[in-house]
Formats: sequence, structure tokens, C-alpha cells
Amino acid sequence: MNLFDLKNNPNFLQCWRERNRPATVGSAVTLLIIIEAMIFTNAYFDDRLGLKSAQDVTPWFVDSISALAILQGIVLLFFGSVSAYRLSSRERTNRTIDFHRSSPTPRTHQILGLVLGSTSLEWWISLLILTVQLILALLNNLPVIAILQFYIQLALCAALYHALFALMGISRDPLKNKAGALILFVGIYFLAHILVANKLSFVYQCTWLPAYEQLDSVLKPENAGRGWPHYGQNNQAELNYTLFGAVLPALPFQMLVQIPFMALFLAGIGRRFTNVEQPVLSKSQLLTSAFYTFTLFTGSYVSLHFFSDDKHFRPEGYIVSLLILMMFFAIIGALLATPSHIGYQRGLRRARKLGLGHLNWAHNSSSNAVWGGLFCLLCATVLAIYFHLFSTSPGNAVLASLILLGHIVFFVSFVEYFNLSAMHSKKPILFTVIVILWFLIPLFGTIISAGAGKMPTALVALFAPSPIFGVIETFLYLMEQKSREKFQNQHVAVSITLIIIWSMAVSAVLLATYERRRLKSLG
Amino acid sequence: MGTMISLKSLRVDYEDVNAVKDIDLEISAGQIYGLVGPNGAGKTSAIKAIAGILEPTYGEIKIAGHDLELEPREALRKLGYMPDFPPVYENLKVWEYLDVFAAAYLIPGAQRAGKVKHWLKKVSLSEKHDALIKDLSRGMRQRLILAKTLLPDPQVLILDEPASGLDPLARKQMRDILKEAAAEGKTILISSHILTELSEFCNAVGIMEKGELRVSGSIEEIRVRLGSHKRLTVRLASPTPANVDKVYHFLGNSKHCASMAKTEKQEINCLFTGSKEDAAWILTQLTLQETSIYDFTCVEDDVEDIFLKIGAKEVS
Repeated sequence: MNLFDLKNNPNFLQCWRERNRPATVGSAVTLLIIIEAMIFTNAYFDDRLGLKSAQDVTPWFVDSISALAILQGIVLLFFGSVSAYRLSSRERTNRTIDFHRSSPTPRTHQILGLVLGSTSLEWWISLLILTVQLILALLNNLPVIAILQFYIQLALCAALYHALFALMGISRDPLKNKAGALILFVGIYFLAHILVANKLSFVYQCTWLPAYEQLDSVLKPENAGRGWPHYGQNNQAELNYTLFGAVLPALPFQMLVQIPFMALFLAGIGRRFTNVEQPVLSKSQLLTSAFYTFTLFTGSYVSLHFFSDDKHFRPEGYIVSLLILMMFFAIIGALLATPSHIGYQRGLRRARKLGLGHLNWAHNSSSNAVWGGLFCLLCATVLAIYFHLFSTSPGNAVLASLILLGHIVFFVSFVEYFNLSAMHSKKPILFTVIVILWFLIPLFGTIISAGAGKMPTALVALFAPSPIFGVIETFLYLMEQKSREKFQNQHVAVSITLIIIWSMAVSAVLLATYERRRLKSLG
Repeated sequence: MGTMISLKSLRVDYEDVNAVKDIDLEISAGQIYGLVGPNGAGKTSAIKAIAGILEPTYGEIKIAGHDLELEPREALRKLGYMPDFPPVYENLKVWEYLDVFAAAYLIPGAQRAGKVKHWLKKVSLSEKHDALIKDLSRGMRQRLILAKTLLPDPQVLILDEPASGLDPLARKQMRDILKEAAAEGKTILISSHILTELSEFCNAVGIMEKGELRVSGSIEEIRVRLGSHKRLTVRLASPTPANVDKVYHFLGNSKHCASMAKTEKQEINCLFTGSKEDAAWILTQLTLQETSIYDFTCVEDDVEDIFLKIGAKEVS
């Protein structure tokens, strides 16, 4: 069976038939005709009646093609993603996923069928819009290649979004975790905003904006090189296509960024099909994705660091984003890489049955200790690059690393301790402990120190458990910032901070080790 | 006969529950194997693990000689699975649903329409060919799932409580279809807690309780192993005390009868250890004594009796 033989792909057939009933197709085509008629009419009369500004000399058909491009984006990116989520989550709520899992259809076919089938209506509507765009271009001697390239770039971006939303849909367990997909979505949304706030090229290339920008610059040469949004200053538009200082063509750069993430999301869907109980990403996938994201981040940052013409360029925001990104990966990674109570016990029994001392570190049922160690090593390596970029002194480099890594070690070990302990079924306890340590105690510290110039050194004990404080302190040391003397005795404050963080981390490691040994001894 | 389902040290754990405890089982080709046990005995967990839906803690599962972990595609190609609850796509038409799963079992497009029609006819759903699944009753959905399970012509059928939600007529129809499938040489593993449902057509049973396979084998083997006896019941047309006593004492004096009992309806029951010829001799003698016998039955223990003997009391 050919991977692209969609006529014989069960998942595709199911979604296609359900989504392409004559009534649905009729309504969609009618709506499309009405919207296109509105776009043409609006563009034509704007042009003919002189309603546009004097500087705007764009003819009506170019405006129409641009508007249709936006319509394509809305159809594919918004409606397509919603459909991918809806039909994927239904596989879990209906339990039809069980039938697919017990069928001999190859996993790759099931994944492709689900993602393409659930968005099939949006794909052919976008192809209809493309046809109209091409006709307009041919009739008016516009470059057809530009329109096709736009479509390919948009399609690539849509495929990435569809894979992500299908993964979120299929991760939604109707019985156990109703809020899981929502939390994942909010997390991604939140992270995206932190990253988008900075002008990192790899984040820009995760969106469909490069596609639109390319089309816009061909159809409206006056906008060429201005980038999206039209910065109109320095060389930001060029830097959006730059990685490690090398300027990359739009499509290859987009592929470089989007295809690995798409592959990761598709692999996650595959893992859900194989076993709904296992984490959506494996330990090795978590490490690989963190490594790739940090590489892209650094590549984008290095371009800005060395080549930005912006006189107001400040690295601070980027470094804070990087540190937040590291904590984000640590938190998500720890939650996914830590075996559940029963999962760990299953692993022990399985290893014993197979006559092994322990399972491979990457196994779902294995402890997260090796994963945590490798992740810390990765973070330390990435930080070393930034220490080099900012010529951080060795002493401050060590301090900065110890502060951030202490928080990572604490969280990773604490989650394992919690999952393996007798409290494992009471998740609100974990949530409450983290909220108290990370937010409430520092908030209390902030309140009592409000208005004070230099805080009493002892007050650092209230801030030290929070990774927010940790990120700020790491940043200050990494950047060799001299204005960090917030506490009366800064050196003592740093020592207290490190003692508290690492006491928490070591305690969590010991507790996790104790729980592992306890479960091993139970048999 | 080759082994079609082989389990070695199969274990399934849930949170704080050991659902299946290291069970070993071999089911030969053509066997109809009933997996019996009270609710929560671990039947569904074992069945889900065999169907490839639930990852076991450990253990080896082989379907038609293919290891489910190492060669999942080959193993699953030989297997048809029907769960207790019918998972369906509500917005698909009946024929579309079957066509989707025909494609899932790699049946070429040209053959699918014919197979769909054939199986819809078999489960009496031909007139619902173009109906949407959301308009079907629970029983109809269950029949649709049965058709979906049998359509790819699997060598091994795994059925978990297949008769739940079916009316008596549909149950009989399903039994006939399964008997036909067994006659064609398919291996059937069927789980149920309704024992009468199984006793009619299973030729082997396994009794599960608290995750353990307490006993397994052909019904005859189990009867022998448990020292099972036949039950003799005599009913009289005019059960006067004199008549009843006469029959009771006659049977009581026979070396083949034990554990004599009289019911409230004046029936006489006993455990019978003799042969068919011995039973025929007793019947002849009772008739000659003019005891007005209108019913004389000698039956072997069925699945329910075996199950109750083993001690599981929670069966429905």
C-alpha cells in the first residue's frame, strides 16, 4: 500500500466522506463565490471610484490576489486547524482509535490519513482560491510562479499547524484530562508570544508571514524588502531570513524550521495511535527538540548580535527569552519524561522479567534522572555559547549556570519524587506546592519589601525558590550586570540563593532516589 | 491443529490493580474459547492486550505465530476485534463505515463494495445500507460492529461481550454467525459473564477470577479434572407422596446415584455417575413400576455449573 494512495487510506476515507457531503460542499462553494465576489467588487470600485489614497497605485486585480491570499491563509490556518483538532479529538471520545490501533494499517498511513482527511475540505477550497488567483495573474500578466511559491509556503505552514492541532486533539483524553489540550495550547500560545516579541528569524519562519511577504514584494514592488510588519528601519527584514549570519532563501529556511517540528508533531500523533497512555513525546524526542530549538534560537540571535543595524538593539530581552525557554522545556520535559507511579512499577517488573537491572534510560517507564542530566548538560552547553558572546567572567558564568540548573534539577527531581510517592494520585498537591514555592512566597517577599530601597539580605530566602527570580539572577550574572545590588549584601545574598536552590534540588534528588529504591524493594 | 492464540506470562497492571496476573494460554485453530469470569476479573484487559489496544506490563502474545510486539502488522492482519461498547463514527453511512474498515484491513477497493453488501445482508442490515449510523439503535450498531469484525475474514476473532445490547433474536443470529465462522475453521475467543450465552457453542473455556486464569481447557477436560458428574432429574405426572417416595428410594438404592434431593415441585434430583446404558436401565425399571414419569433428563455440567464449582460467586 502506497503512502499517498489516499483512496485506500481508511482514516482519510472516513474524514473525507464525513467532511465532503454534497450539502457541505455546496454551502462552502456558495460562500466562497460570495466572498470572492465581494473581494472583486470592493477592489474594483475602490480602484475605479478613486477611493484609495493618492500614493496607492495598485490595480484592482493585484489587490484581489492579495486579499485572496489572506483568505487562503484564514481557510487553511484557522479553519483547517480547528477541523484537525475536532476530528482528532473525536477519535478518543468515540473510542474509534481502538479500532485503528487493532488494524494492520501502517501507522504512517493512519497519521497522514487523519491529518489530510480532517482538513480535506479546507485544502480543496484553498486550491479553488488558487485557481482563481492563477486565472487573474494570467489575464493580467502577473508572475504565476510567485503565486505558486506563496501557495507552497502557505501549504507548508498549514501542514505544520494541522499536525500541531491534530496532536492536541488526539492528546485530549475525554476521561482523564479534559484540560490537557487547552493547557498545551495556552502554553504554546504564551511561549510563542514571548518569542514573537523578539525579532528572531526562526520564529518569523514558523509563521506564514514570509510567504505573504514574498508575494507582496512581487505583486507590489514598492513594498519589497520592507518585511512584515513593515519595520521600515534598519535591516530587520533581511535578518528575518538570516541564521548564524547566513542569508537563506525563503522556502528552504521555512522548510528548515517547519519540517522538523512538523515531523515531531506527527511522531507525537503516531505515539498516541500506538499507545494512548504513553507520553506524547519520548525522552529522546524531548531532548532532540530542545536541542534543535536552542540551535535555531542561537542561530537567530547570533545573526542579530553581529549584524543588526538597529542602534537600539539590546540583547537583554533575547537572553531572558532564552532562559524562559530553557525553563519551559524543563517543565514540559519533566512532566512528559517522568514515569507515572504505575508506569515506573511496570518498568521495574518488565526489567525483572527480562532479567535486566533496569530499562534503557529512554524507555517511557524509566526514571527521568538521565534525561534530566542530559538536559542540564545541553542547557549548560548552550549557556556557554552565550557566556562566550558576552565575555562573561568564569566566576559569574559558573554562578549563572548553577542558579538556572539548580531550578531545573529541583523541578525534574521533585516531579519524579511526587509521581513515585504515595501522593501520586493527588495532583493538586504538586500544583499547590509549586504555586506556593514559585509564586506565593516570592509575592509575599515582594509585598513586605515594597518601597524598600535595598532589601534586607535575609529576604532573599523568600525569592530564591522561584525560577522567575532564578531567571533574573542567571541573566544578571550572564550579562555581567553591575546594577544588581538589590540586597544589602549582594555576595551573601548570592550565597543564600545558591544554598537554598541547591538544598531544594539535592533534597528533591534524594527524595526521588529514596522513592525509586522503595518501589524497587516492593517488588 | 496449530496454535492461533498464544499467551505467555501475560501481565497487565493498572493503578493499584493487577488486572491480569501472568497468564499462559494456548488456543488452537478452530476452537471457540469462552473466557468466563465475574465483572472485574480481568477478561477485558486480557482481550484488549491480545487485540493490541493495551500495552501489557510484560508477556508474549502471538497471533497465528506472529509476535504482537515484534510483528504487529502481520499479527493484526489475522485478527478481528469486537469490543463490548460499539465505537462508531456517527456521521458516516452504514456502508461507508464498513468500507473504511475494509480498507483498514488492506482489502482492495474493487472487492470492498461486494464484501460490504454481503456482510450487511448477513447481519440483517441491508435495508440500512445508506442510513447514517447516528440513526441506528444500540443493537443495530452492535450488529454493524460484528459485520465490521468479520468482513476482513480474519483467522482469529476476539469478541468482548458481543451480545450486550442485542435482543434475543439478534443474539441467536449472532450465535449462528459465530458457529458458521467456527465451522469455517476460524478461532474465536469470546468473553462474557453471561454463561448461558457461551455454553451452547464454546468447546473450551477459561475461567478468570481476580486476574488469574483459574482453569482452562476443553469443557470435557475440565469436567474430568473437577470430577464433574451428570445430573439426573425425574419429574412425575402425578407426584403423589407415595409415587415420589417410590422413585426416591429406587434411585437411592442405585449405585450410580448420589446426593439425592427432592425439590418443592416434587422433582427428584441426584448426581449420576453411570453410563448412558445405566440411565436407560433405570428409566425402564421406573416405567415398569408405573411411577407416571413424564420427564427423565440426564445432563452433564455446563459452563455455569463448572464456574460455580470453581467457586466464583459473582457471576450474573
